[in-house]
Amino acid sequence: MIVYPAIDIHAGQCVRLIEGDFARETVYDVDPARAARVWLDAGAEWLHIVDLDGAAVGEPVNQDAIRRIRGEAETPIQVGGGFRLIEHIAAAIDLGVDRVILGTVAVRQPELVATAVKRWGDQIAVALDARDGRLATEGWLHQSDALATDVAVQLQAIGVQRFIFTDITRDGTLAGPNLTSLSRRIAEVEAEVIASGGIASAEDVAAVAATGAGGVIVGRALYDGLVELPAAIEAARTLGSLR
Amino acid sequence: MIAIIDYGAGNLRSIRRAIEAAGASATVTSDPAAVVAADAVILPGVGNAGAAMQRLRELDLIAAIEQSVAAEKPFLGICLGMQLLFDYQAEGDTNGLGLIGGHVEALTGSVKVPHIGWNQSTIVRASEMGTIGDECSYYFVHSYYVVPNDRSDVVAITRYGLEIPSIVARNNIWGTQFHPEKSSHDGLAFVRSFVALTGAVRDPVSV
Repeated sequence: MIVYPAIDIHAGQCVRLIEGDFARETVYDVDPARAARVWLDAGAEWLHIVDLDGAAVGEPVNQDAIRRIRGEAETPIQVGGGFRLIEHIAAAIDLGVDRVILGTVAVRQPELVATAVKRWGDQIAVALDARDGRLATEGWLHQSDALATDVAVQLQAIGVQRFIFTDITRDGTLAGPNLTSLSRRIAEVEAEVIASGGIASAEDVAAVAATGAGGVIVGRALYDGLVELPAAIEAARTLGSLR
Repeated sequence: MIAIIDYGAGNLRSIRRAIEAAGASATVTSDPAAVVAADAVILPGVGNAGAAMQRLRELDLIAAIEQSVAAEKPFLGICLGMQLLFDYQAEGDTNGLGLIGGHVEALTGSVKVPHIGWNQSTIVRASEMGTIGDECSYYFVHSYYVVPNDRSDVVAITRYGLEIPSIVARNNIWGTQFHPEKSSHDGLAFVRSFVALTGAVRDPVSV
């Protein structure tokens, strides 16, 4: 299982939010590329980057920061936040992004997802962010009635090969992952699942690995020093599946 | 100075950064003269073999590559750049550079194509790159794989449905199916080894 250190970018800076709330923000580094360097030097195998401004306004905003991280990283990177048009995705791929994460658009315009998957295949992932099992979109500012699992099954049918499931009520809280809902999603969806939200220890990483998830995104716990990245990667290797 | 050939194939900054991290200087160039003058050459590659060969022709880079290789300077093809080292390319039904005998075939069978992600690479024969580990983890993105005529050109293999060459070498010519510049510690170790070969060209006594 891959451990993805998260780099959330707001106004060009590396930040963490609690439960996606912009009012509860901690700035970790004014330079996201420097934050990336820390995780790369600690042995990161991938980086998970979120353009928070992009997610909120509906188009990529922090491309300069992402370009600098791409220049810095000797690993593949995945980026989410604000991808609503095919042109947005194409621009990110051209910039050297290895995997583009679609969120809101996947719920609103599944036909765009179908086009993207046809063109870029495995380089497209869909993030389904849920509060009590129901999807939240637009940088989590909007709550929908759709069930995350239903949407995942439909998107899988049109070719999506990887999902990122975030439990909003856990994100940035260090409350531990919601293993019950994660296990249920993994059972219901054939595609690879990356878990996100609530990781607070290497034991949490091992517990996620044991569910059969393909990856886990770790944010605040790394920045606050509760988890050392090498220990998290080791936990993922010991108990995780080979992916 | 190591020349990274810029022929519109993908993002080259990571490669340059990896070389600089290994202690060498690099230039990203599409100038044939700069390629000939460089101590070593890297041919990156993302995309389609047919289009890539056409672009190399348009930029007059093929003779420069041949000249550099003939001068026995270290040459490294990455991903598509490795595939282009060979003769016939199934992708685009085109001829490659023909620097190593063999052809390039599409990945088929029960495996997911393209092969994207981290995978193990196992050394199968000794090479001048003694510093890389016998088992390494590298990042791959490809739909085709190389089939050298001479099996002794294969330095390392990766299992993905079948055994595909992950590192090839013939004299001074090297190829990696994976992206060393995206393969973290093991990738950087490979780049360091390649850079060390460049040092060998400049000053054989020091190596």
